[in-house]
Amino acid sequence: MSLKYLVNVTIFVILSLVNYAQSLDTSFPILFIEPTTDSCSGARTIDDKFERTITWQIAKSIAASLEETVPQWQVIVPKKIGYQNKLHSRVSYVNQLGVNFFIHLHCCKTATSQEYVSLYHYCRNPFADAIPLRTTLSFVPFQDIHRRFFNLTTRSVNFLHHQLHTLKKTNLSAQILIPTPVGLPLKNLCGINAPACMIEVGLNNSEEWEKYATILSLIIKALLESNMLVTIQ
Amino acid sequence: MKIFYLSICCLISASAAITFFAYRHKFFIVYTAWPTSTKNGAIQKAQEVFIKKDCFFFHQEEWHSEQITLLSTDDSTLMLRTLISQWLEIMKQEGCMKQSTRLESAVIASPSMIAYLSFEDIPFERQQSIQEKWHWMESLLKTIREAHLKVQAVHILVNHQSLEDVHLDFSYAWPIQGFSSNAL
Repeated sequence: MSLKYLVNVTIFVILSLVNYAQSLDTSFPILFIEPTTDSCSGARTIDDKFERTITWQIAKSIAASLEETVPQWQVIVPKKIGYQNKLHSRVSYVNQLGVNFFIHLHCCKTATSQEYVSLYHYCRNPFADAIPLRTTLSFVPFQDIHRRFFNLTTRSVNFLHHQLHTLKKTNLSAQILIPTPVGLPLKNLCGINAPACMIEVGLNNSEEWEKYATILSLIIKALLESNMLVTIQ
Repeated sequence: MKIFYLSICCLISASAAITFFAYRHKFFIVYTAWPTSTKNGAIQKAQEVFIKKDCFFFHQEEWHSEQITLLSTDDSTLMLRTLISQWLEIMKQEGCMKQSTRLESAVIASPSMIAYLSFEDIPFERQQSIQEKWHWMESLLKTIREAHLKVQAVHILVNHQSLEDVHLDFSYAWPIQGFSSNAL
């Protein structure tokens, strides 16, 4: 057996392993659901329960439901409540994971008795952000990174909004107010590379969360099954 | 005879000159009943001292406006300060603001036309939703925009430092066009 033959075989094995590793990396698109974590600021409450507790329950319920119904997607809910005190470190964590879609959850007590589900996406300047970001540099400024997938983000949020309206015809969410989605300079979505959206649920009482977990699971499932977000990253 | 006429002419000329001199030096004033052009201008100017501006607020899912009267001035910073103070009063009266605050100072940076508004306290309450906070901000931007003060962006401060909010990012100036047009 010659040395040349051995080298060739070794190179072939290495290349095969690299290919296999790459195929493993890209096999699961990732959905990141982040419940709000307001441990270092004045937290909102709903009937003596903190907002973070309810959003945590909603996020876990959505994740459990999606793992069953959409097994080809990997759903990540951060383990510790209050893990992301520093904005840059949590954004870096999410970006390094190569997330395909990012959802930040909020809920609060409604000012009126009308319950609602609001959808938001990140926007810094309503006119400049719509222009696609064209750069040959690998470095993209922190405050401009959302422009990479701005169109996809707006399409995804629009899709979720449409799904909510479709569900409104059923008994499940007949009485829920669904405001038009809007792009705002939101702190929790700033710097996220992937298409991202923020959902705020207005509750009348803290026991209602299960209904919203079901509604959100259904609309997110529809979005994931649409294959709109699989090819990014 | 010739001397007589000559002396009468001199007398008339002298009295005309004395009358004209006295009039010029305001020894007597001629009052006319009809308004002069100067007086017209003064009336018009008095009317221009006051101008009407609209204050906007979002209440019960729709936009409302209330007209206020302000003293006209060339100083746009002073105008902005008065406008925002009045707007805050209206917001409080209409129940759009749960948290009471006052405008501490207002400045318009001249080259960039960014308005810096510093409030005494955070204008939001802890329990407020993102929607409510956005509507508050949008009302402020709409009021300034419709007042035609040539402001391009608004930076909100509290005690001369950037407003820290859990949800919305106030660390930079918000464009005067607002984000309503951005609704999908």
